[in-house]
Amino acid sequence: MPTPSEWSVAYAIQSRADLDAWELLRGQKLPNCELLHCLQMACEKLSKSYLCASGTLPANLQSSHAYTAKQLPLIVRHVLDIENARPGLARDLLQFTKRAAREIELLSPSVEDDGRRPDNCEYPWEDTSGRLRLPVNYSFPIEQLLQERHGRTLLKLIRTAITRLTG
Amino acid sequence: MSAAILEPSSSPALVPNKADAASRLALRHYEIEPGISAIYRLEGSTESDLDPFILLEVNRDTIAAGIMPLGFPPAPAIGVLHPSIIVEITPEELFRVQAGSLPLPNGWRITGQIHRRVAEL
Repeated sequence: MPTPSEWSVAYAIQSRADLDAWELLRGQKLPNCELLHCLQMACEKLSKSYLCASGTLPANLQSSHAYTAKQLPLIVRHVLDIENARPGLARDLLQFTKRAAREIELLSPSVEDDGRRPDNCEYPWEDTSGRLRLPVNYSFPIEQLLQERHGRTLLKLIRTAITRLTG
Repeated sequence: MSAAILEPSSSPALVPNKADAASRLALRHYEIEPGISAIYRLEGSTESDLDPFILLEVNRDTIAAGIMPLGFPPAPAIGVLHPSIIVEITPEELFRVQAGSLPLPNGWRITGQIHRRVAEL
């Protein structure tokens, strides 16, 4: 039977593969929803990796995609701790991370904020005015966030967090 | 992660004592998370100095998701030489913990509070 540590590393390796795909696809002419799907999966698996390492049973993680908004800020905060980031910068980055993590989590079609946020990076949806929307030509809030200075830093911090688990 | 990205602070003194390490990390988290209103120490019945210290952080800026402990390795760069476990909950969840309707796992119990003013000494 695999140990919690083995499960954790396994999730982290899959997270790294998703993030590698995100970075590779950024240079391609593809709809942004395809890239964002990779980012959403990378963050979800990173969150589950830390939960596995902490003793959560993998079977208990299968039924939900809603872990990123809660766990990613804690994981990023740890990276900021181990890097001894200046408190002011760490504070700003954490506030940004909480906003970004929630938007990343909402990319999953199963996370829709009680119907208020049906936008997702996989399936078409009907918006509140009855209009059919497609992920391939939708502009997601997270896209703008990632263009900000802290957005680029957040992506590096996510990569650092994954590397610390996978080596 | 290169130093140029995060511009690290100057290195603090290392604290070998587990209780001091818990206070050191709590200080750091109070400082960088304005939403944290209280931090408590949790301990199990058979905890030793080799076990991680556990912090229950009450944060109004987090999501209510129950008790989801996350373990982290030491952070020597901020003087913390012990591994830690962080349990982050909302103020409403703290009421449920105190009322017993949101139980802590592994026989953990609250053994003390790390006050912001104490942590900032």
